[in-house]
Amino acid sequence: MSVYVDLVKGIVQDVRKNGVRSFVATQADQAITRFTAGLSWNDVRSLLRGDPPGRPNPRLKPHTEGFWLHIKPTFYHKSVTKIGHTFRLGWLSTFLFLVELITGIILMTYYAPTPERAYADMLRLLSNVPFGKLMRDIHRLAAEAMVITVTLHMFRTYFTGSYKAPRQFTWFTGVILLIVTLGLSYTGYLLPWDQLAFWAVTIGASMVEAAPPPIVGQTLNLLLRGAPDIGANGLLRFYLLHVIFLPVLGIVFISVHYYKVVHHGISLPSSEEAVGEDTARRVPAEKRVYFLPDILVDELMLAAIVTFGMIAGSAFIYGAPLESHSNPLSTPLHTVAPWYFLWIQGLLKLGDKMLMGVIVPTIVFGLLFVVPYIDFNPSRRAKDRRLAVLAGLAGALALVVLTFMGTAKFGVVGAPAQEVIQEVIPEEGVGVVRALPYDEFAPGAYDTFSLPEGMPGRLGHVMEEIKKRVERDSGLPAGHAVMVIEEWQQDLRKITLRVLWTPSGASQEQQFSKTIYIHHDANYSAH
Amino acid sequence: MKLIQILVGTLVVIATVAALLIAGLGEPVRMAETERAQQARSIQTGASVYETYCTGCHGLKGEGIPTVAPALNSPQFFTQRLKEIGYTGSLRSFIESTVAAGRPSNTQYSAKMPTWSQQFGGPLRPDQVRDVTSFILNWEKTAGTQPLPTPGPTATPLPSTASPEEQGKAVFLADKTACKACHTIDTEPSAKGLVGPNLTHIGTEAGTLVAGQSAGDYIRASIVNPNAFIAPKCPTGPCTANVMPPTFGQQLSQQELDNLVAYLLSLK
Repeated sequence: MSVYVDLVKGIVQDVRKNGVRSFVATQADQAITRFTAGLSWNDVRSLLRGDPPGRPNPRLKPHTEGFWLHIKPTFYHKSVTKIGHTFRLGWLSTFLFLVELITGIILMTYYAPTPERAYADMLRLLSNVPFGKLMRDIHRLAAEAMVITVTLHMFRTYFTGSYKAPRQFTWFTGVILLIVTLGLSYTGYLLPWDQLAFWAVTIGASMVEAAPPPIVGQTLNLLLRGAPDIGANGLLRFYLLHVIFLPVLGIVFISVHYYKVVHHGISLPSSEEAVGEDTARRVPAEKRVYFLPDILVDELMLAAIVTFGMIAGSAFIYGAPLESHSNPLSTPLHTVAPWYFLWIQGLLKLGDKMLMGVIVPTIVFGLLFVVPYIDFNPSRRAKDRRLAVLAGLAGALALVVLTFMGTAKFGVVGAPAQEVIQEVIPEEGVGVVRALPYDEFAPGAYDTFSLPEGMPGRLGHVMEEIKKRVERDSGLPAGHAVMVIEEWQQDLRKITLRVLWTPSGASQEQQFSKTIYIHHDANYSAH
Repeated sequence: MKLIQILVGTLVVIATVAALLIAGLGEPVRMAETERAQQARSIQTGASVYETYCTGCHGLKGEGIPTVAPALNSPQFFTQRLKEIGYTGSLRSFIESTVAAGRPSNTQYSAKMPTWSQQFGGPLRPDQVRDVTSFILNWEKTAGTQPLPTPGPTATPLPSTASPEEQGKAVFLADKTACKACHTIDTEPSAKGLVGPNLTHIGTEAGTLVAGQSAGDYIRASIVNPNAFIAPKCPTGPCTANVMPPTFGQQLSQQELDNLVAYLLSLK
């Protein structure tokens, strides 16, 4: 007890002697020193002003005393801080991973992974949770951005030869992180439980099933989906992979990867050191750029810009897609895999499922893993490694070409009339007909053979478009389209679009039609 | 350089806060709009579900089919039904649970309502049950104001080279009308129904049944309004009222109806 009495006495004495201001300033200074793990108020001010550090450099203390900065190197080589050397792609990937963690945890609060609730939770998130749509959009946008930055990061490392000794294992963990990133995106794809999710994931999971021999494929498929087809068990498994297994794997390997990066230092531009040498850790004093304050400011600015990009981009430009409720009984026309797996879908068009869907991708990732261990060329300079650079370019080109081949454009084409209807009244999404304001749908029957002269309004415009589309289709001889609009219920109209044609040599006209209902408030223009 | 970075960073943070603020101010309106649109689309989806599963008994537009299933667009359904049966929940929950679990016993109607929810072995998912309920509830505002069955929305006739009689025969044999399920035509192997009158010679008989009515008019009236005159002789005894659905006037286009009459008239 007397200790505290002495403490108070000491304070009173101090205040009497030096005044209140001095006392508060001293206390504040101590608090700041504790918070920054070693920097006094004057140190912080000089740091912010950009003064040269004193000797010994007090700015190294937070690196040795504090947890967060002990992860970061105290200084970098000037040459690796140039934006054009690394493009900050590794840092960007890590930051986006953090964005995903934060938004993901918030989204988990509003989501239950069951077929009964998943889709309904999506709808509720969009209509009843303030900023719910924003969170979802950011989560999706950052995920897609992360796939891009991670892939570009890999290409950068490849083309600068940075995977070479002593950084082979850093590359190896990087490939694991690439797979984790793709896995995270892919497992997250299923969670909204809409048609897009269900069928894209069904396509992917069927690859697993094709893994040879059949007993392995079937077992893996069963493990992944929890049943022969995706259902309640599959959804739960994908959810657990998405929110526990893959994030933990990601955090572990990001740690290993980053430890290795710091341990070896970021590789210097190849022109700055002799072939076979690695001088990244031997930085002359005049080449040092200290983390405090230069790199920190740079990273904070980048963080601010990326955060702004994600928030403003999601709030005003980007919207994560949400199709109708998943329906295992109806495969939508032109189903495609997520865009980052389109290259596999492109591969599938070249051969059978087992070879192109499983064996080739396995070889591709296998090659990625062993690249640093089979490339014995010690030089990182492009002119010394023409073959490797060429192989990298060829790989990038193949990725782009295969991705294009994977798109629906090169897919199975439906019957001509079906395609016409899919274009104007797509199964999912909006299309020209749904986009019309409700009042445009004046009840009646409109035949493109006999449209009223100068049919007014936007409906007339759409009918003209359909007329042109049907008449130029060589698969629809003597083709025309009829749209029947009926008043159906309060604020609800029934719209039937019928495409008719007479095949050459046939006397009977054939037809294909589709019926949709449009409600006054469906508001397709806004979504 | 560092100063510029700090400045840019600060400005970007301010811009981020501004973006969040703008987005936040719009949230209440956006959420309300989204909810309205979701409700509207639920009705749209429900309309499709209704068309597929419900029209057979409750009529194309919820007008019901006497003796088979009650009308769902009647004021009585929206104002009296819950009181009649002493149900204390909401009309939405009444409809949802009835659609999901069906009606296990038939009290006033000949047909039992099947269980529709997957939970009870039916074909519909829970969201589809909710959607079709939204669609049915959307009749509330117009209940009772629906026009009486009339030759309904004119689906556009398909130009064809076939004669009206041939096309009418196709209508008669089509699954959507299912005429053949109840009526027999001796020359038609697939038309062997035993519920309604035998139509083998209806073209001749039709002119003799109602005084002052031509054969064509009689047939047309009998299709559109089956209860106007009850035919005397059915395969199992005298015919009774309220057996033939009164919905064909709506189901068939004018052209289909004309063709069907032409076909039946040709059966001398």
